[in-house]
Amino acid sequence: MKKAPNSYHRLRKLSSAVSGAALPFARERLSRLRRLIGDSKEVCTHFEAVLESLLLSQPGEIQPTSFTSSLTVNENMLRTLFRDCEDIRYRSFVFDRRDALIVYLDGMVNLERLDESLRQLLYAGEPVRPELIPRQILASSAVQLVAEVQLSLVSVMRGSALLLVDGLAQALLFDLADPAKRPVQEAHREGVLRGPYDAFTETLSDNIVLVRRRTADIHVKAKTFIVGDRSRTRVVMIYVDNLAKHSLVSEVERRLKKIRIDKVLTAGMIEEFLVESPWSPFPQLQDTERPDKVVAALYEGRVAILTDNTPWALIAPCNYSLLMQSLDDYTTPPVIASLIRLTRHISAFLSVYLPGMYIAITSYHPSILPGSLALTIGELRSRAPFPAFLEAALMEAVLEVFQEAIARLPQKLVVAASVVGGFVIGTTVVEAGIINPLLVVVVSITAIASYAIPSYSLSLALRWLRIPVMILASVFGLYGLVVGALLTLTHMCALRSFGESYLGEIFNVTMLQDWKDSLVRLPMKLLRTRPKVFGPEDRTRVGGK
Amino acid sequence: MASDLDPKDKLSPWQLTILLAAVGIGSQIILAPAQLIKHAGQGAWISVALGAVAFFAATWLMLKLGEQFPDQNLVQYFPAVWGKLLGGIFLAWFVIIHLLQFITILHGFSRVIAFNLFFRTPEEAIAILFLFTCAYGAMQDWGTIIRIQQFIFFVVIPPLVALWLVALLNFSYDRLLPLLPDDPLTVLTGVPATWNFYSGYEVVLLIFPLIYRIGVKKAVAAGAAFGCMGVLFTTVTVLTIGVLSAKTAADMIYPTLVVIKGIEIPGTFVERLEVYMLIVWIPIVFDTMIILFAVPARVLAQSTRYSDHRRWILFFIPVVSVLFVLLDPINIATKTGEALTTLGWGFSFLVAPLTLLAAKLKYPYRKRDTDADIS
Repeated sequence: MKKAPNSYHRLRKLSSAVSGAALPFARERLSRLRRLIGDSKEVCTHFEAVLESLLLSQPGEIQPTSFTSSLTVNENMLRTLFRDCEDIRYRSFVFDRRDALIVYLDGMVNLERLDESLRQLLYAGEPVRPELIPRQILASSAVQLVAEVQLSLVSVMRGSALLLVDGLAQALLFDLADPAKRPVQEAHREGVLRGPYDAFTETLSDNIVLVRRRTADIHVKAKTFIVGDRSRTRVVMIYVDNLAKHSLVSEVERRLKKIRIDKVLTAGMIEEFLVESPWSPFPQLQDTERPDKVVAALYEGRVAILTDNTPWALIAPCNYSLLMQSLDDYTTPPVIASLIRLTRHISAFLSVYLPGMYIAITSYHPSILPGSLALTIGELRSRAPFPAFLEAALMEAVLEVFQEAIARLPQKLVVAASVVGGFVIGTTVVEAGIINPLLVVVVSITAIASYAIPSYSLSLALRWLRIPVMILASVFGLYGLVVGALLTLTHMCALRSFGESYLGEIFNVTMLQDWKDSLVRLPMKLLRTRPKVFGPEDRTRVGGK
Repeated sequence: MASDLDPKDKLSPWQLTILLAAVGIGSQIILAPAQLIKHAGQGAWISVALGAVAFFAATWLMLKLGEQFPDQNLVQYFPAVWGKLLGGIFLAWFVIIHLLQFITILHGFSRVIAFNLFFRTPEEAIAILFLFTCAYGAMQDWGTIIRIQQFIFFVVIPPLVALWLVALLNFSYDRLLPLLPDDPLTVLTGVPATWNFYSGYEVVLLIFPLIYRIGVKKAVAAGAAFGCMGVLFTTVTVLTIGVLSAKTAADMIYPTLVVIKGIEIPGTFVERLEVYMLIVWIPIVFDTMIILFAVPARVLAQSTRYSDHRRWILFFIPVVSVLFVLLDPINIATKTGEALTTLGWGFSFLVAPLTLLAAKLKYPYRKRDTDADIS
């Protein structure tokens, strides 16, 4: 039977009737669709990145980039941007038959100087045309002509007064900042016996002046960075351009630019972004409130970082040896300075290991003590109810609480707290038989030893190290103590501050020249070269570049 | 591109001296003298002195081998010289020497510490803590390891020497006589046993490309290290024999500790001097152990084309722990020690010189990089 042509047609593939249904065509469409999806994903990612950067650069709202020639528009814009900022003051006045507006932040501007500036402008001998204001009054160093809104806003927030005149598409910024600030005072943490007493304050410009005042070197450079997406804090990097290693300067710069943070309240907040190992207890940047120390560091080829609102500078790189030095080392005779330095190193050792030694010897190795001393300790310990570790841990905890309380107390109460802590608790716990007197002696020596360390940050790190060392000593005795020391040594050797070993030049035979100002200090006459450890461009102190 | 802020892995010739001396002056100052005095008797101190010369010669040959391939280490040139199979076998030999030595020393170390410092703490507990400490050290880069070596060398070696010099209080010259033994052959048979004292110098095959090619010649630097070790070990052996006599020392497991134990300082403040000696000894052992642990890990990492050697260190921790337990009976530990000495000698005086010879034959016109070539 012959098949009907219609039925044959009905059984044919769909593609023969509908060309768009062909498999190759469908495949091609599908691949195009996939490509489109891929492209759109890419575009979407790109848009997200753009949006994110926009949000980061202008948090809160979209802001116009420049002023217009209409004062009303400009004023409305400023009032919108400064909405809910009740400390922003707007003063309108007529200037050469045109409306003018001055905007400033109350309390940040020196009003007397502002009035004086305006008086000069308004009551000048001959009328000043607004168009000529820039040319006529820009001779004054404190006046700046700006068109960017963003810059003007930040400047107003920093204490400048903004003058807007109708018909002028630019604004005048009067640098009249006079915020409440602390005068230059003595250092709180780094007192010296023979040396200058002035210390950094919270005002960045004052701090830069304190550094500049100490050297008239044109090679001392100061580069400003803005850190903090919202706080827009000024951070200044200071270095000597023909001394500091170029790679060090560019690395500090790179790390400063890489910081992503919303606010910078103190230099401590950026410190953790700058160091290689933020988990390490050791300070990897030197902090100092002394401008003389900063200048000394600059002339060793190091880089200082000053942060606005922070009364201390950060110095990079840093190592253990530097943290154990003080300005007094250079104002006392070298022999005495060397002995003092050795004393500090011994203090650092005692502040970490003394409680551990007490635990190890009393718990595991009393036989290394002379017989009479071992008997005395045994008798004292027999009265205390706790094992040596618990006893020491308890005392350490009390000491830490006590130190923390004193650090937070008002100055007037510190003396009272010292009496309560030192005499009352110290004596009472012994009399009550909770702690044996020898341990009180050990803990006291440990605390005093930690106070002998010039760097407070290092002292804190050593205090922290005491805990694992005590645990090791309680489990493994003197063996544990030595293992603890080896682990600490390994960590310190592995730790780096801007590429330099944290142990610095100590016992490094490739840096024999640096030994003369390390564990000991030789007379100044012999310190003719700069420390090799920081790789300065010019090693010779005198007669170099 | 490496910046000058990157970790520094290069070492100067004097750092090489310290590295070799620090690796050599290790655990064996307490663990090895007994075996040596058993072999060489009265003339043990001569064997030690001769050992310094012999092993310096081995090191010198290794440095010469390094000069044939100045920018390469043994992982790169052993297969090139011997082919993949034989080169691989020699590399395995090198790795086994270091690992076995690590385990043997760990064994002896934990035994000495447990015996002298603790009564109830098991050796395994001591060993495991030390194993982890050494692993942490061995995980570091060469720059860090060299810094550790230098610090320990300058801080720990002087008190160690001072403690040994106190042994002069019990020294008797008569016990040292006759200075030369009746049978000189015993002195010669004692020389191989001194490999334990000086071993660790094989590391030069791995670190050769890292050594600065300026300044003091590498051979001079190595000679200074062996001179330093030779003087120290000879003094220790002389003092041990002079205090205990060779016959008594040969019957003891750790004669050097007995020497220190026997010292009584006038007055009553310092008691049990051997505890102080052990406190000083622990960092010295650590110094040796981190090298012995780092070297095989780095060789294996490079052989297996891993840039990070730390995974091999982590792999070694359980391996070492198991082998440590297997070595527990003291006779097995002794036999392992003897086998290790043979392997060490074989590598130093057979594999290394033959490789040097083969390299010279295979690459006769190769530009060598000697210290003399570089101003």
